[in-house]
Amino acid sequence: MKKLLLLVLSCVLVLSLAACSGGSDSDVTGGVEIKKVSDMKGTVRVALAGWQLDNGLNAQTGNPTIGLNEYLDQTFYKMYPNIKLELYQIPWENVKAKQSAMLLSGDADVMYTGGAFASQWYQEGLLRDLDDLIKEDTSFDPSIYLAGIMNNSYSTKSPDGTKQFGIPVALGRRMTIYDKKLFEDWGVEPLTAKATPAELLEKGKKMTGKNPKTGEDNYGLYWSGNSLNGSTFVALTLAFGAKGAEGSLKDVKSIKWQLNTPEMVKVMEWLKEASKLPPAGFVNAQGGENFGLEKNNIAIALDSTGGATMNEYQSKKNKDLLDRFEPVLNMGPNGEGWVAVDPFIMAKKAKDVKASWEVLKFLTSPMTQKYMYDNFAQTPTLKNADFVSADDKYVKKALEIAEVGHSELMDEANPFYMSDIVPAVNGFISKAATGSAPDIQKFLDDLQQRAEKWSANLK
Amino acid sequence: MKTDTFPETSNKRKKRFTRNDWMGYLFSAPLIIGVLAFAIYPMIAALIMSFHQTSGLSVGGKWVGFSNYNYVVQDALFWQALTNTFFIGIWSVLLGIILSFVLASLINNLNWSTGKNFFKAVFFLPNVVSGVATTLLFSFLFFPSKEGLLNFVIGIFGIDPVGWFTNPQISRYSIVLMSLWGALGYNTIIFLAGLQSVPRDLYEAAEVDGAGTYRKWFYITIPYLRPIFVFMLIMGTIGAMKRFTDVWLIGGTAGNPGGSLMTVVLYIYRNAFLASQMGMATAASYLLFIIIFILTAFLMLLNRRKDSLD
Repeated sequence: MKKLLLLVLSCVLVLSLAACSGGSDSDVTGGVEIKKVSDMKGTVRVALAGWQLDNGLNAQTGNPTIGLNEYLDQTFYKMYPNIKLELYQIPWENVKAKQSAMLLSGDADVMYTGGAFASQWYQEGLLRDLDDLIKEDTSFDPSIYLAGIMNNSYSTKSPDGTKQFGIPVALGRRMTIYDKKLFEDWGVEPLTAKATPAELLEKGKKMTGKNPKTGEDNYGLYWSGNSLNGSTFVALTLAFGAKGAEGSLKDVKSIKWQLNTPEMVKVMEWLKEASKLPPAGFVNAQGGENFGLEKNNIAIALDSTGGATMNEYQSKKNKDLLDRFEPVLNMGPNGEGWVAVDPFIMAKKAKDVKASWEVLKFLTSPMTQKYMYDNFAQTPTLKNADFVSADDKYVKKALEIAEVGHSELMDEANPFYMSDIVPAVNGFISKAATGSAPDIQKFLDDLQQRAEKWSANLK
Repeated sequence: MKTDTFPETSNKRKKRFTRNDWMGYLFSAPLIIGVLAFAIYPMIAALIMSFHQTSGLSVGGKWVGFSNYNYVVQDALFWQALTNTFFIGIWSVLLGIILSFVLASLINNLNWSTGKNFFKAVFFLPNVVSGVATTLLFSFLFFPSKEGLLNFVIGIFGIDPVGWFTNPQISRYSIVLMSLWGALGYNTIIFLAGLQSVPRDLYEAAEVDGAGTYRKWFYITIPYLRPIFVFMLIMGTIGAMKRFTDVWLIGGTAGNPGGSLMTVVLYIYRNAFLASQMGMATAASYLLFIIIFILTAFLMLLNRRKDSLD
């Protein structure tokens, strides 16, 4: 009896181990035969923000994932057998401080990080320009990347736009998504492909209240009222032509602030009106948890990713939700908005520049981007991302938005924008939501004064 | 003569450093080096940085004298943050001390020993929960619609949902409630330890004089525990002035709703890690240090004056 029990337990253990090691024999190259590229020797220290090194499971979908270590074994180490990689996985939490320390102490050669951090490090002189390496390397084609991101983002280009310090590898997905079912319930015309702020407000107002079919409470609009980067505000400034400031991030002291212009008043008036439409918790980024899922009660979500819907689709293969939640372009004149860009960068103190460049090039290549998309649903930065699933309309829409994307002074690379403007706007929104919005012109005049004083203090 | 006395002094000095002394210094060296490298050096570096115009983590940049301090003290946002910090702090500390003292007294007077341990455990339990977990828990508990647990409960009595963390008029009180839940257990345990140290003969003498429970409480227990009250007040004040995690998790960089949860440390964080204005951030840090120092010195002085009167 004991032997039988032991046998059963052994079988369970073996099966469990086999299940947990899912993906170990998976092909990550899509059937492409990997050949040696170079005999180049060297050691490169790579600091990765939030990458998964070991095989595991996707927490959202439950699907098995292949870790970076196995991917490199099957690809990079066959292509560059004499380059040794030292990988440092750093959680996103407090990543800036940790990676800053690595750059200052010279402990990393290549880094994957947040675009805003990269931009600030570049201005502090901690990063290396890549232009000479790109020019010398005929195997590297910069035109494969989305032009709006490669050439016009503070996350990859110097503040004056003349130097390339980063190669984009991942995008943030921020688009307008609406719930077709709620639109039908309320008898409201679907959103146009490039919905303007006025259209969003008008339709959102129509769908706030008791749903005529279900009797449930519905909310016309949702966005995060304490967004760290104020991405809805950025899209609105683009839509209303409110520059907010003129000048260059190369010389923040000389920026000419335009925060109290009539265009900016329109932005704030829109926010004031729109703040009455979401669930109350939106001021603290709550209340939108069910958007993209069966129980949803929000008609339109701004700056949405489609992640919840895609995860449901990937885990249950149920197409209903995918058909129900439809993405459209962002609010900018050409459908643009703020696009988060995560690049790979090279430290100024990189020990082996040539080997580091090969590593950086490989980790931003279409093959790596495909691997990251297949395993972690990361949005690629390529013009021709043909590996994106035909069903994944959210990534396709994000790529459309990124194609027309560009950095503005109302961007997270601008220190005053991040430390003062975004919190001030979020504070305004939360007051407006409780019906006590401050006088808009006075609010903007105060913000303008603060900005001018801030610049004066830097001189 | 000088030549005679010098060798004598020298010998005396030599005698002061015995082999044992050196061994002692050697063994405590890791700690001393740790304190110097990770506490004293950063403090000095931050002080130097506060006089510079910086745009990064490293010390350097242009010397600007008191310009950063000047900017911070003239910044209305800093004063708003300080007002919020004081408001939340005063309510949390005072209510926290009073409630925990009352609770400790009730537990201490229980004649049921199992019950004593049960209540100690129950009230101390929140203290082992991290600040982040507590905040997440209360975010759901205080959810602003009727789906929130607290709003559901008050809804039974016909009360409309309250915007605990979304209404600027209420949010600061909600934070006070949350901090009370988190800190009550720790304070209660400290008070319980103090209560058990009060000499029994004092109570017995008072009983002989005909004192009842409340008189004993007011005239023996409270005066005897004064050092613990002062300790609580000082530690509570320092903790309250450094409030960051919960307000940051709830209200983000704006200290939402409406800036009501904007605290001094959040102000420092915004300047340091969002704007990379380390000079301004360190200047604000040193202003906060001065405020905490003055408050602590004042509280200690009150205690000392009372001691001298005794």
